Amino acid sequence: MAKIIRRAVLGGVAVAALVGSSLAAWAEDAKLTVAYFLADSMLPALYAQEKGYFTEAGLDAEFIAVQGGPAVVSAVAAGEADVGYAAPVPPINGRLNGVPVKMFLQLSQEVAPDKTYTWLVASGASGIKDLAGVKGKKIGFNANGGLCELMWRDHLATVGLTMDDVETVVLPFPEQEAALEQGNLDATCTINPFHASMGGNANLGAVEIATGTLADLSTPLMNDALFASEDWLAANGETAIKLAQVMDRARKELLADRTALEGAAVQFMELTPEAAKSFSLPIVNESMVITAADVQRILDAMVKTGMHPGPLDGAEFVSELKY
Amino acid sequence: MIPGIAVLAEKFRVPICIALVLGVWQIVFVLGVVNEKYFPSIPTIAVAFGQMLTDGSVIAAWATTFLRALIGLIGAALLGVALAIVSDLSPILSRGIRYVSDVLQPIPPAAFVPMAVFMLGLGSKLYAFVIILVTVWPPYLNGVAALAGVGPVQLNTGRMFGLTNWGLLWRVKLPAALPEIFTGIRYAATISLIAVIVSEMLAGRDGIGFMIFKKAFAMRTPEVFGLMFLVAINGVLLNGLVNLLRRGLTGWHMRMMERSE
Amino acid sequence: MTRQTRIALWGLLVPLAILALWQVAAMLQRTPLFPGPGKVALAIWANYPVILRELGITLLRAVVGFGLAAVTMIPLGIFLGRVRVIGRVLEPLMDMLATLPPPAIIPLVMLFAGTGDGAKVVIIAYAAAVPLLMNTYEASHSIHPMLSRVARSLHLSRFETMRLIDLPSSLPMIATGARLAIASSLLVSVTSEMLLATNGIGTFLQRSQETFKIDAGLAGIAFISLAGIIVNAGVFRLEKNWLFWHYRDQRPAE
Repeated sequence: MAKIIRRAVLGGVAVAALVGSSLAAWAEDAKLTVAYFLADSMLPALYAQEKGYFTEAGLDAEFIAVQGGPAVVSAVAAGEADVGYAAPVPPINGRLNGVPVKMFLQLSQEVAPDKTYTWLVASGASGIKDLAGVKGKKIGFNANGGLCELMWRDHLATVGLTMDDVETVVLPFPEQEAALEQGNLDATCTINPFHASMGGNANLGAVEIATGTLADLSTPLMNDALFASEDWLAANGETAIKLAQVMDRARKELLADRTALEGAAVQFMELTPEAAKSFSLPIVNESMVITAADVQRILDAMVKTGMHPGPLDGAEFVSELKY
Repeated sequence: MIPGIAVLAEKFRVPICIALVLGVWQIVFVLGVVNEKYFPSIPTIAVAFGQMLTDGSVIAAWATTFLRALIGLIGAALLGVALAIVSDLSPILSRGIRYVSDVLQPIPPAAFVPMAVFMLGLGSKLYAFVIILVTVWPPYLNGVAALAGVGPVQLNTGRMFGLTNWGLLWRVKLPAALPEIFTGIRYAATISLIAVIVSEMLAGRDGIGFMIFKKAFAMRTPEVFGLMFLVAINGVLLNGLVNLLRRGLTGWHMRMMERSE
Repeated sequence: MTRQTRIALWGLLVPLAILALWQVAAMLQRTPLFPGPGKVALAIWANYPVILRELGITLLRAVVGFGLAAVTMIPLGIFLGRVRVIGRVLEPLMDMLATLPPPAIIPLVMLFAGTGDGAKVVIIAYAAAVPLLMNTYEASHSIHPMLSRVARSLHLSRFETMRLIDLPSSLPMIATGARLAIASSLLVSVTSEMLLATNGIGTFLQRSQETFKIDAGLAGIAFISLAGIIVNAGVFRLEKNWLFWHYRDQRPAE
């Protein structure tokens, strides 16, 4: 008898625990983990998280900062994060090497003549005046297989040079200015706030030799992407749409409110308040929708400059998301 | 040298060393070898560091890093000594472990981290794996060498007292080997801090390593160097802890050595 | 079969078991980002000419860096161990310098030594200096008191004591330090190439990882291991030959 009672009690406890936990799970927000490489266009997401917009939309979001695009892809591939944010080249390279990720939103773009956010800068002492002058010199970029490598390759191609005509040094962005000034680099690929800092450095005598990731920027070019594994996208379409809607809301707010934008830049990017005054979001397209054609331009440039033998089809890398 | 000064110098050796480092730094700064933008003066660094202290972020980051290093070190030291003991008992396992250590030891943590992320994610498992993998070898190597190096006189004396193999290991070999094992642990302490910070810099989301990375990307050079000094002081702290433990465990050895003076 | 070879063969089971576990884990994961030993073997076959060339550069830097550290740190360690006041006072300084991770000091070293071979050699020497200095210092400072008394009764000068008593009696421990230092020279040589990437096996590793060629990266790692094993075996040989008196004294009972 005692045995039966004990069983009944244990059974009851088990059932209660099961019901309780499933109720709790039902009431819980959908989990969303985002791994990102800290860059300007991620600000709206961090701002939205701070403001509680994700919770309002029923998302339990967590943001993990990771160093560099390839690390973001690793985090997504390992299932450590649902969604990744990086420049487009790392997820493209990931997919080419068997990581089944697809890009579903783009956050920032570049377009000629004034909305460009990447620069090739030479030091005054190097004597480089233009792209052709780079031949035989020491050039820097932040990572292999990234946007900066593509930028160098594409711009060098316009003057008939390849990576074999230069000496390359892979060096993180923060160390490049000192390396330029001291002659350890002759030219480098940089972004803000480092570009602005170089421009204000009289000792460096910076010469801008090119701007924009690709030489041809007559139409807007995607500069980054949110991506996830195919499985996740197939199973979490609704979560992805909610993410897009929250991002959209935060982007609009920050674009409209200069004070909030500067505040966010100081808080999340740790810019000094002075540096934040010249900060702006690298947004050209209001919409974050990404199409196969957007990716195709980058793929074509990669094939043209020898980063990949090709041929590559943009549609394979994109999962278009309407929000 | 006058003994009084020597005693005094020893008593205040930590401040003396810190002053020495800061002094040399400031001299290099005053000489103006490199642009101030990349090599700020000590007062500038101090002010920047003070600001980080007041907002509390640095203390949380420091605690995270130090705790990680400490836990990693304890794990690695225990594992290393255990491996050394196993090696001392079984020649076959000894050879087997030596093969593995030979293969793994030359691999830098910076090369491990990107691989390990796929298997272990970005959390505490990653740190445990990386730290133990690079930290376990000094206590292990020193342990094996020290256990094998216990003199025949000591061993025979032990046998004469009728100690079994286990007793011999526990009561003669291990105590005799402890001083050398602690040299290994002390070296391991520094590697474990390095491994934590490297992991945090390469795949981190918090801790001092990640903070250094983040400040560098915000071009806050004085803060970056402030954090570097903090890392240096961490080394002194961790070694202080190891030394305390050593004094407790191998005090007899130190007293014996000091008596000669 | 002698006892020694039998032990060596049975011992191989330990690494083989680990390889088997790795292969099973890789087969369970089934992602190209977690290749098993089989895939890595193929990658070794495909990449070995490049890897060997880059490894040569890496080893050369490691040798120069270690040499620099050895000629400066061993004498310094003995000196600090002997002149105890200075040694004790400077102990925290050694701890401080020892804990700075190479990735953190690289930006600083770059300011003074650039991005080329010079900078990497400096960083390698710095890393190798730590175990050399610590072990030498520790060894000469814990020399058996009887030896000091012998020196005193022979009326040796301070310098003679360091050369004739301290150096030989510290050698076994210095050798342990050297072994650690050689390992960390190779290790930091690779790391410095990953962070100031121009050429060398570290740059190869970084490029492999950043372009998701994990199997090629692991192939590179395998060669680093191999280089480490060969170097270590060499060091072990030398140690046995030079320190035969130490090993002889240790094992008369068997």
